[in-house]
Order: sequence, then C-alpha cells, then structure tokens
Amino acid sequence: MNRRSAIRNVGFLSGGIFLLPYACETTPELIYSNFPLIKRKEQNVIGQICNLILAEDPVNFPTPEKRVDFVLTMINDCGSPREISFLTNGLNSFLTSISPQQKIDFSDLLIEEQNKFIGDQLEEKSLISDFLNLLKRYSILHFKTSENYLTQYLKFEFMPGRYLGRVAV
Amino acid sequence: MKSNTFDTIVVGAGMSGGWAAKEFSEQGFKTLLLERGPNVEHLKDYPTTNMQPWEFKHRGRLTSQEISENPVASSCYAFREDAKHFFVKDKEHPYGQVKPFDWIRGYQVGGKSIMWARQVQRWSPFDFEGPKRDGYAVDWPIRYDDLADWYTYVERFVGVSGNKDNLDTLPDGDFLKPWESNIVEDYFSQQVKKHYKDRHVIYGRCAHLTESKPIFIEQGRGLCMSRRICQRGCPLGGYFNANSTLIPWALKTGNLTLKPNSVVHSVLYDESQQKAIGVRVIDSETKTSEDYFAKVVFVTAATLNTNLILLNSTSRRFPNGLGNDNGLLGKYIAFHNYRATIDADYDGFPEYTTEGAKPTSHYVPRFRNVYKQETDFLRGYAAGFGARPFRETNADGFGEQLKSNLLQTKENGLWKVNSHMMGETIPKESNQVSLDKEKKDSWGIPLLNIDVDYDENDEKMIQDFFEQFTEMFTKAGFKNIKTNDNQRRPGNDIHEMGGVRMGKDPKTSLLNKWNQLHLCKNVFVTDGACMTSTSTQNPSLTFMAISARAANYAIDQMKKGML
Ligand SMILES: Cc1cc2nc3c(=O)[nH]c(=O)nc-3n(C[C@H](O)[C@H](O)[C@H](O)COP(=O)(O)OP(=O)(O)OC[C@H]3O[C@@H](n4cnc5c(N)ncnc54)[C@H](O)[C@@H]3O)c2cc1C
Ligand code: SF4
Repeated sequence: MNRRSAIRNVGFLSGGIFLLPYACETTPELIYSNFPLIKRKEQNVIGQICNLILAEDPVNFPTPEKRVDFVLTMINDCGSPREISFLTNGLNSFLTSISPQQKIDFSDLLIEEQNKFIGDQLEEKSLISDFLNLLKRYSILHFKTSENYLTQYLKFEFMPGRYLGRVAV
Repeated sequence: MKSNTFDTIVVGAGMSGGWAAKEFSEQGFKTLLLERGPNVEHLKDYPTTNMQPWEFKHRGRLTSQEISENPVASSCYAFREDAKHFFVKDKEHPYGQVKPFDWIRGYQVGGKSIMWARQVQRWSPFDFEGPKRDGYAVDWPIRYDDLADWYTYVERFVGVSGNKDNLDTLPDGDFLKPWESNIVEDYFSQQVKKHYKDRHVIYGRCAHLTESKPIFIEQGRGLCMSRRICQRGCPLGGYFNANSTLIPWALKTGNLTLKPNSVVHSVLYDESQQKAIGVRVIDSETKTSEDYFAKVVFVTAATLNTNLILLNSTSRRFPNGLGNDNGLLGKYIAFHNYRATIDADYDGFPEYTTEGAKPTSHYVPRFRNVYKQETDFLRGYAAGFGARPFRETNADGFGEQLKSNLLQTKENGLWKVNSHMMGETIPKESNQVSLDKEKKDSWGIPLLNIDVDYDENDEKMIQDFFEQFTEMFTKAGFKNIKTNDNQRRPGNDIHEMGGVRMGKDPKTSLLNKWNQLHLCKNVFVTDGACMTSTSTQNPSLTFMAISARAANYAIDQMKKGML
C-alpha cells in the first residue's frame, strides 16, 4: 500500500522524511488490569501523543515517573468506566483513522503531520477527541503536580509557616 | 494488684478516652486504656506525613476500586490517598443502615483525632438551655457555668488559636494568637456588621499551636507550620491529636497501660455488688476473650460504639443493656445538618492576594432563634466562611501553546467565596440505634443497626440558610451566587451524638450530671453519646471538657472511697 492511500483521514501529506519511530523499545508492555492489553507499541503511541499534547520536560519539570506511565496508571486505577472506554475505543479509532489497515503508524508521520492531526482531532466531537482530551487531562495533571510547577508557578510550599492575608499582586 | 485488675478502665483511645486516661494516670490511678485498633505512635506511625504531592502515585486521588468498595468511607472528604489508612474500610466493619447513614470511623489509638478538622468552639449558655426553653429532648442537667473552667483547662493543654470576640453566643476561651485574616474575610465581616446587628463573621478557632508555651514544649510539640495536611498526622505536633499529647503524657506517669487490638465486648455487671466490675475484651487478632477488672469504667468508644457496647452489656438485672430500665438507651441520636452550601465570586480587591497557608477559615456563629423563637423551625445553624484568590489556569490548546498557557498563573483578580451550614438537629426517639438480632461481626459482637434521618425542621433550616446567606452575600456585593443542597447523608458531618443522654430524671435519661449511669454509678459515659442536644458548634471540645470534668469527679469520689 502506498503511503498516500494509507493515510486516509489525515487530510494532508508532506513529502519529507519519516521520523524515527517514537520508541524502538523491545521491553514488554506494562499490564493494566482494567483495560485490555495495550501492546508496547500502542503504549508508545500513547506516550507520543501525550508528549505532543504537552511535552515532558525532565530538565525543567522533572517527575517521578514517565508521562505515559502516569497517564495510563491514572486511567486504569482512577478512571471511570466512561474514561476507560474513551481510552480503548478512542485508541482503536485513532489508529485506524490514520491507516485503516494499520499499515502505517502514527510515528511514521512527520512531526508537522502528527501535530496537525492531533490539533484537528482535538477540536472535533468524536471518539478520537474524547480519547485525546482524556490523555490531555491526565498529562496536564502530571505536569501541574510536578515539583517545579507546584513550587515555582503555584507557589506551593510544604511548610510555609505563615499566612499573609493582604499581599499586593 | 492482679495483672488484670486496675483502678480504672477506659474504653477507646480517642480524645474523649484520652482525657479520662490522662486525668486518672496523672493522679496516680492505675489505668487500663483499651483500644480496638492498632497502636499509632506519634511521629513513628504517620507513614505519609512527609510525602510531597508529586510523590503520591495517584496524586492524592482514590482509585475507582477504593471508591466502589467504600461508599461510606469515601464519602468523607478526608478519605484520600494520603490518609485513607486511618479510616475504617466499609467491608471490615459492616453495620446495618435502616436508613442511609454514613458512619465514618477511625479504629486506632488516637481514634478520629488524627484526621479531624480541628475546629473548636465552646458551647454557650443558650445551647445548654435550649431543650428546656424550646421543649424538646430533656433539660440538660448542667449549664455553661458547670463547664466553663473545664473548657479553659482543656484549651490550655490542647492549644487553641482564636480571637477574643466577646459574643454571648460563642464564649471566648484561653486562646493562642490567630492567623491573619485575608482582605475579603475582613471585608465580609465588616459588611455583615454594617447590615445586621446580631450577626458576626469571626476567625475560625482551631486546635493549632500558633505560640509556644512551656506546656507545649513539655509535651514535645512545636509550632504549626501551616502545612495543612494534618490528617496525615503532624511530625511537629502542630495540631492537637490524642497521639501527640494525651496518650504519651499519660504513659509518662507510669500509671497507664495502653492495650491496642483489644475489642471491648461488654461491661461486666455484678448483681450482688450492684455495680460494674470490669469489661470483657476480645483480642482483635487471636479473637480470644479475657476479662479485666476495675473500680470505675469510662466508656468512650465514640458515640455509636459506646451505645453498642452498653446495649451489648446485658445481665439478668439489665436484660436490655446496662442501665437501660427506661428503654431509652440507643434513642434520641442526633447530628449536624451539613447539607447546605453556597458559593459566589467577588471582584473587589483585585489588587490583593494571599501568601502561605492557614489551616482554618472563618466562622459565623448561630444567629437564628437565639434570644427568642423567630422562625418556623426550631434552633439554628452556624456556618463556615472562606474566601480565596482565584488562580485560574488556561488549559486551551496543545503543545507549546498549552504549556505557555499553563505557565501563566497570575491571579485574575477574582475571589471565590463560600459558606457551609452546620445545623442543629433535634434529638428524637425515632432516631435510634439497636443491635441486630442475628448478624454478628468477626468478633462475635452483634452488628449495630442505625435508623436516623433528617426531618422537616432540617429541611426548613436549609431553606432559611439559603435565603439568609444569599441576602448576606448579595449585600456584600458577591456575584454568581449559587446555593447547593449536597444531599449528604446523616452521619457525614461526623458529629453523631446521643443515645446515652444526660438528664436530671432517671426515667427520661441514662446519665446524671456527672456522666454516671443513673443505675450503675461506677460506669461513666463522656463521649458524644452523653449529649442531650447537639447545638451548632463543633462538638469535640465539649466532649473533652465533659471527659475531664467527669474524670476529676470520679477521682474525687474514689479518693473519698465512694466509688
Ligand atoms: C474528617 C473529620 C473531621 C472532623 N472535624 C471536626 C472538627 O473540626 N471539630 C470537631 O469538633 N470534630 C470534628 N470531627 C469529629 C471528631 O473527630 C470527633 O468528635 C472526636 O474525634 C471524637 O472523639 P472520641 O474520642 O469520642 O471518638 P474517637 O476518636 O472515634 O475514638 C474512639 C475510639 O474508641 C475505639 N473503639 C470503638 N469501639 C471500641 C471497642 N468496642 N473496644 C475498644 N475500643 C473501641 C475506636 O477504635 C476509637 O479509637 C471530625 C472527624 C473527622 C473524621
Ligand atoms: S497545618 Fe500545622 S498542624 Fe497541620 S500538618 Fe501542618 S504543621 Fe502540622
């Protein structure tokens, strides 16, 4: 299958070079008890999407765990049945909408193509946007509960030892 | 002394039992403090106390499984990832809900004092006079003056931060300095003063150390550093719990034997002596039973468990429960109505914000029906009041745009204000607990069936709160006012009281003015079970004052050989 016909719903193409796949890891997938096995490759796609939505920044906003692990753990452990269905159905739709026979991976797209696809889909009302918005919500939670965000941007102090009620903005 | 014999036995190591144990041990009485749960040693057994928010796997949230397995416990706002280990899980300790009732419990040394919200207010003379004036329940056998010095006694040991407000509806105490108020809290307070002569918005008095004193240093407690994660246990001892104060204090005397994992099955009554002789205990782990003996027994297992133990203390003389000739044991249970809340925005003072944190907010003492009956419902409500600058973050977009939006965290000039009602409920015979005739727990003790509900008085009070606070918020210029009936089930206030009420007449009450069972004078009940009515104030300071008072009466009587 040629690439043009494989990428049906992306709605654009560019002739640039392919990106290296997000991860060529051979490590086995993490297993989540509340949804069907998501293969390593799919977990990588989820990680890649989360990073496109809100990039991990280990230098400025380090976190104890990788974003994809946090997002999937939260959906698995704390997600409502609705959120879990957003993940499983949405992932499937996401993958097939890039390539119905799944011959081409999301990671085969150029970065601009990936961004455009995500941007367009986030705006739609669809299974895919439910899925993307779910990943977005938990990615934001991961970012906003990072040490540096809490301390530098939300002025969180573990032991403030004081309360000032009238501080000029 | 035989190893199973003591001067006094105290059942339940929360703040009520902790006070009794402290008083007895300090005055040289060999005291056995029995606690059904495990030990929680101050500092050593607070596993999450130094964890940062980002170190929690679920960032503080509960898992879906925890929520579905614990519909009762998870209804409590403090049952979260950081403190869930201190709460009773639904499956471990079942009970019967004749009507929906959230029975929130903490089974461990320290009881619920580890997780409580530390709001403490004295009752006023109006509260003790209420039942007599308004003709409900029975008249209290004590008045505010009987308790005033004991409030002071307790406050000095516990440490209470507060303002002297000089209100007859909320007597002042022995206070440590308050935290600063924020500009909107002060503004609302002034507005309410301007528009109403009988309403006040004051600093919320709380059991936190804002000043150091020799007594607190002796207890090994330091100043509160406003971490606001007290429910995990505080490594500084900045707030009061039984674990950092009462229990180590009592242990230090050498007179206290603390026995965790000891489930009290019943109080043992000896017909020939016409008094209690001790208690039957089941080891929570081995499930073996053993009897312990003492001259005096304090039952302070928290309101509903105290009812359960007494109902289960049957003998030929008392087939329906200890001291229960009148059949009122387990009846007239009451609580606080926490169903009504109100929220709004305020766009004044956009040039101000706050810095740091404080572990309390503001408080509106009861103003309804204080001096005379003025509404179509009995009694009234107090309310909390909070105001905070609103830091909205914009989560639009994705990629770099989203990140840059999230990094714009300045105040947007808006304040969020809110209030929640704390309504007095009227004790009624139909609100009651009883023992299940068939079902037993894992220790062979009958399950408790709880049959407690709201009534029309509560519904009317909710409407009045909505009307009055909408008016007060409107007069203060607050916008987007939204009222909400959160439909909380009874019990969710965690202020359940009654069932073993105090009163003057043995025909209509179980306890006398010293908290002794009318019909078995060496058994005392000083936790929430003894409360004749509920008032609107948070109750625990009163439980502690009553416990200290009753223990000292018992000590006096024991010294005179009367008990
Ligand atoms: C989240 C939360 C917030 C709260 N906020 C406030 C507040 O701001 N202000 C306020 O005044 N109150 C508040 N409360 C209520 C307050 O915590 C209780 O009123 C107070 O702790 C009661 O103390 P107690 O010693 O009577 O009971 P508990 O602390 O419950 O102690 C009773 C002890 O008895 C033990 N026990 C029970 N049965 C047996 C048995 N059969 N044998 C042996 N031991 C037994 C239990 O394990 C427990 O340790 C709050 C409670 C919670 C949970
Ligand atoms: S607010 Fe005070 S008492 Fe509570 S945990 Fe923090 S330092 Fe301790």
